[in-house]
Amino acid sequence: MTVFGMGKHGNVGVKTQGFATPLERLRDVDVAVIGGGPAGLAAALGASRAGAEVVILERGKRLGGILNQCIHDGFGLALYKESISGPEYAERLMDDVGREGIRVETGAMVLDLSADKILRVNSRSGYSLVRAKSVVLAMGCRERTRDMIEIPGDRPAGVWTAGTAQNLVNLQNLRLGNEIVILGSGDIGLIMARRLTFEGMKVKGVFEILPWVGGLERNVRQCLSDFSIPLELTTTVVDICGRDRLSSVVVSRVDEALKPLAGTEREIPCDTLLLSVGLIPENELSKRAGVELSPATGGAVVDEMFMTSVPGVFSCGNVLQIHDVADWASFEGFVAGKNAALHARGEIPTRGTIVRITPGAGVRYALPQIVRRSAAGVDLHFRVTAPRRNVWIEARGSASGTIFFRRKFPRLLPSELQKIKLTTAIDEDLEVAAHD
Amino acid sequence: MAATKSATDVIIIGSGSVGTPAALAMAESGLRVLVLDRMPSVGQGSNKGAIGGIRATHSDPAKIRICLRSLEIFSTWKERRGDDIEWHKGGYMFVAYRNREEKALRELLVTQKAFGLNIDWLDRSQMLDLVPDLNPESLIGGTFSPDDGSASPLLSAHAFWKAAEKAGAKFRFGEIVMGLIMENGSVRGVRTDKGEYHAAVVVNAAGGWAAEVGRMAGLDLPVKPDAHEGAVTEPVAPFLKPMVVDIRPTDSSVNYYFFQHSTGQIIFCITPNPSIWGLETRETSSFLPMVAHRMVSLIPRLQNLRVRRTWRNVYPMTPDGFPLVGWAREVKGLLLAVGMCGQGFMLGPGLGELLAHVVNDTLPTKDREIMGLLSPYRKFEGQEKLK
Repeated sequence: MTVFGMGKHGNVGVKTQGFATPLERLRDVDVAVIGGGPAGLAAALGASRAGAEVVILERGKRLGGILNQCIHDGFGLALYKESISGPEYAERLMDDVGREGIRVETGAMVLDLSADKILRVNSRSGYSLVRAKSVVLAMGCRERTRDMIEIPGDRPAGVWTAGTAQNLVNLQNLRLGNEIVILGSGDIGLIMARRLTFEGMKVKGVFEILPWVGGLERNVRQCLSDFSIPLELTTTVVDICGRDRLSSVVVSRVDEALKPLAGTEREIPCDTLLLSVGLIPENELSKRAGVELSPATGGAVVDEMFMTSVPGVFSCGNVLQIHDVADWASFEGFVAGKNAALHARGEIPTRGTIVRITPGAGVRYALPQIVRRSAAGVDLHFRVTAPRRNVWIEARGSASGTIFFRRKFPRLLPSELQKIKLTTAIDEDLEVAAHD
Repeated sequence: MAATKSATDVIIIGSGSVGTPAALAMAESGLRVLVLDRMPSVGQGSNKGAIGGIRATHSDPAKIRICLRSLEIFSTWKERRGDDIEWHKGGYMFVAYRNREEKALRELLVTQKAFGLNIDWLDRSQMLDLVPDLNPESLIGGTFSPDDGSASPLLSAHAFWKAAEKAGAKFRFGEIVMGLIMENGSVRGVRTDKGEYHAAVVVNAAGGWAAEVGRMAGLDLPVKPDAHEGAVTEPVAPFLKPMVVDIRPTDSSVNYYFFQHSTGQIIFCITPNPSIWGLETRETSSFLPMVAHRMVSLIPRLQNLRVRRTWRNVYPMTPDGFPLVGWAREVKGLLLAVGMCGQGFMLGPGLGELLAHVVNDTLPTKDREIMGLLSPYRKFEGQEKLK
């Protein structure tokens, strides 16, 4: 029999002979969903509606994930055809989860995941092992920090990532400071510029190192322009000053290689700096299970079923690819969850022969990266590398040159995740490229 | 109340670092044990705040002897019982950068060696051989005890629990002890928010809540919870073998210590100065800058590590820094195992066996001295040198 021993390095799923050790409290489930945010809740619903017994394991004290701190509206436009706030969006999914009778464990930290889908879980009710027939990874993402983008200078208090600031302001009712500078034009940074203005703080400017905005266009309009908050592109923070508390930052324009241009430095007095400089899919558990990751997305390499390289392990939401809109994370969740249920019942055939989809000129990534040969009706996600107008997107067979998809887009932005449908059966490797 | 025959010999209040292994030892000695805990599972009080260090290299005979036994239990657990509790024999290293610490550590070494502990003085170059990343500037030397180590509090608490259940001990979680049932100055059982349980012996192993339980018996136990904070970094390749302890006091903190877990994370903790009293467990913003500064000056290479999480939990402190263990004089049948001063995790298994002997009245002569030293009725004149 299989005994799930806890190896010295925490490796579970080691196959040995013998009986279960006293430590084991093994629970069996069809589908275990890790994470209870917009993707995980949808995945649980997708799996449950497909007839599986599901458990959601959520690290936080409540379901909803980051939605709980997103008190602005704009959620639900695609899923519910109306604009609601993050907590309302979460509530609708949670109500459905309740109606489905899905088992939910909050305060449950998944410590480890093995390739044979044994989860080590620590929760208030103790330590236990869960054995799932399918696992859906929906752990979301974390923010890039000052350390990761290597801003030099002092290390005073008052430097926050935008999402942490959002939590402190919206959920803990704290005032961050008086004069704010925001580095990075990601959506959270833009939303926070407006939020802090509402709360009576002075946002002195949003600075973006790239020549284009990182967030959605609607957010630039509704969060910056409407409040006369300056936005400066090709500009970055090159120094952070302050002994105990931040007293000023130095910004500088950058050249085409994104190197600061000498002589363009400008000191801006402020007591708070927010960083909205990118999100990183939180794939530590995926790595433990041996899931193959894509350097382009930071998430798992998946097929058209959202299945990763580890059979029965699916991935969706921000842990798979960073989304611009929560609804799309949920849509992925519904599909991944349903497929996880089918896999649990043995109704998904093994992959067999596969073809690969790779990004070509002007395309940062394409997902899924792998497709079962002859699969048709595949939803393909992609992102461009830079803003483009009147651009042709082409999916072309690498061997035959056959065109599987070709359409002209009036405007494409790197911030926007695009989804297209490849209707014909894919029987060879594809390259997705952008052409003028 | 008539002296009815109870189905339970011993009720243990608290299934933490002390109560759980005590339940195991008592159940295996043939006693019928019931453990009550207000939390939904084992080790949900201070145990889960422990960083997992286990050492016998203390400054007094009682703790040395108890922890020697604990070390034996932890280090052989896997071969005897099967489950891996992540025991790691990395040793403990106390560093000396000033004559004051050198003198203190060398003095302790005499006591420690007299008890047969495997500990020695290392000179500067031997220290650097063992931990090459130590800041060499003004390093004098230090002590190293290779037989000490660490284990996972999470996995060991669960291992003790499961083994105790297997030996027949019963655990009731999510029950809050409301009072003790007394009769003619003797304890007869425990009243919880859910019911009454009868036994001739009740063990107070309530950790941070020990004084509260003591008051139910009319005792004023000198146990005060004091907050400490710990943290864990991202995992990195192995580079640090022992637990490193620096006992130099500063104006804002006393000692701090850290080690690299077998899965690669650095886990660390510091004793604030002055102490922060109370059961509050929300972490503070002053902890990380305070401890990070000291750790990085000791091992500069640590500056590149990212901290993943911090947490705060309590040390149930006593006036002299030593636990209170023994029968209450005022109430017959009430056994105290409280005031572990932050060392409940390492003392627990050894102490559990001792408590089983006390209840069965089979205490070996050699262990009577321990009970004298840890008597709740001692005068609190000394002071623990290696808190």
